[in-house]
Amino acid sequence: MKEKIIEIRWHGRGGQGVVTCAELLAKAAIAEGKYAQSAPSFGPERRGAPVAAFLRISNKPIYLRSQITHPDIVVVLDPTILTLPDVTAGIKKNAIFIANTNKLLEDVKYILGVNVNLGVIDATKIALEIIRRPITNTTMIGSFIRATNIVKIESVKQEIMTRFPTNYETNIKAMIRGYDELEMETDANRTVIKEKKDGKKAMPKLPKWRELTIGLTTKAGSAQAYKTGSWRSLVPVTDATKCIKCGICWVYCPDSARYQTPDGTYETNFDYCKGCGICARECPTHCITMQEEKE
Amino acid sequence: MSEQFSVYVPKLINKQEDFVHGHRACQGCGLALAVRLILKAAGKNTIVVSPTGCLEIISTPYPQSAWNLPWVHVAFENAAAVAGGIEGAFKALRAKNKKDNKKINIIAIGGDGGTSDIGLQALSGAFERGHDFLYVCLDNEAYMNTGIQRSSSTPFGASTTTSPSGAVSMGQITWKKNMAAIAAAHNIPYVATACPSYPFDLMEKVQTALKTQGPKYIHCLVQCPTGWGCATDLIIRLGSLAVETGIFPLYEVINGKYKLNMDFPKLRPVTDYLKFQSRFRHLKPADIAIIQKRVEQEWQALKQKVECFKKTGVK
Repeated sequence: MKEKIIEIRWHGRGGQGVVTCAELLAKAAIAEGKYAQSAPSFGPERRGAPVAAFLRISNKPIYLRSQITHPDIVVVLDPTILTLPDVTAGIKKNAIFIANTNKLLEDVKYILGVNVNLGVIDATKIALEIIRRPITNTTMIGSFIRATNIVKIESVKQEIMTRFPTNYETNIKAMIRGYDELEMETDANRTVIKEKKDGKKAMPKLPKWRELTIGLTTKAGSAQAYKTGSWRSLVPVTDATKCIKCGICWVYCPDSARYQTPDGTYETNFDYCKGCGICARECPTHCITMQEEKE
Repeated sequence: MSEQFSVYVPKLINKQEDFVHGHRACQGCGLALAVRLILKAAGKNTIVVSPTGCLEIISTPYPQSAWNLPWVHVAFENAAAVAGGIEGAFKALRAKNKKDNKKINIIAIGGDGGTSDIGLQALSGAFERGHDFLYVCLDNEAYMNTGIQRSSSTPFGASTTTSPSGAVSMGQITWKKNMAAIAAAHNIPYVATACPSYPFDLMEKVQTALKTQGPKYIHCLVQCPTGWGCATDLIIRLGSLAVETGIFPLYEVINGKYKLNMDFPKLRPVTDYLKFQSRFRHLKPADIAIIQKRVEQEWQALKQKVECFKKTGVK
């Protein structure tokens, strides 16, 4: 990596600390005398929506300011977004790919459909055990350091201490466990798969300015095409036998994701439920419980 | 659709969803809930105007729209002016017999920044000219959309990114601007405060407002789990606590006459409301005592206004 710029792309959901991840590592690299750059990328989506962050590390000054389209390393902080085509978009040949998942190496490879140097770690479990919240960023930093060896774990520790002055202990603990428990593919256990055609999605060709169309008319209510159900990490489970058909959950749902079944009880529309838990909190008979999302 | 919201039965609420699911609001967004309820109360024949802010960003990500109604997005500073213009256009068309006399509800929905900071002059102008429209301010107490910067609506002591708490600073050092009082000072026919934690109250107020001729103003406190630093499922409780502690009293000003919607023999201590939010976590007991004193003073002042109009019978 003497002359080269290493390009790293981070994927996760808003609120998991994706941007913080890139920032911490950039700061650590700078503290080691390297050049680094981090930038977030998000659309209008908020907490819970898929987001990405970019990180460049080099021994020479970096003049590039663009988004990263052809990453050398990809890190995915959330197990549920592995299936999105964005995570493998434009990925370089023999890139390093670190995924937070409880699946086996081989299975993840088939999900991705791309031949990459894969590493897996169940960071959500570690984060829940140590930090008690599914915030996986520091755990994934540990795995990243182990897999790539670009920055030293000591300098990241220092950055975490300045960034989280009150709760750095748990975060450092999570990082060390992430470092220790990463399962990386070696030449011995490597699975080579036939690459999917659409697995390695190329960047779409952008139109030239003369080819741009003049605005568009949006159909009323067209946002329904976007299913916000993938945002949630907790899922409301309704016990229909306890439901008294009062409709309080329906009134209080900000996403109008509760609907009445023909027999009068209320159920959740899982296509749109973001898992905020208001219905469970406000239900007078406590017939709704929030449970961890299963596949 | 039933008009009887005071019966308090969810079954009687308009089933039509005009703010559809698929909008990009955060989990547990009080603003999305408030808009949904307001549009349910307004029903068909409604035109919505909204300035820049969270509402615009979450409801219309290119190329989609979460609105089942005609909706106009305008600049930060002129939502009220555009709403007034729409009303004027209908008047002109009716005068030329190009439009029937069907009642059209014109609602401008702005955030606290678009109402009490940037859009205040347009709003004041529209109130003064007496356009027939309803302005709803969805007050989440900071510029949440751009990353929690303070607005003039941010309460005393709240930590935001531009009024951070720390060794020297204790967060926001000014008091929340009383927008409802400013609107009432324009002598408009209807001013109210509301909160989606009391959905029927909110919907009833929207309906009362839409039945009234002239400019109307509803100040609605909406909870923001991201900016307030609270659990997403607690927002309904937080809204109730804001009312029960007297921090955000629910009242109406009908033709200058004050009416308290929720009266309590004794207010809850403000700590009940503050302790659930990380933006107030740094406050020391002395700071909380200052807030408590101020809240009680304002509550007494409001009660006096209500009593005063009861006695004199001013209409």
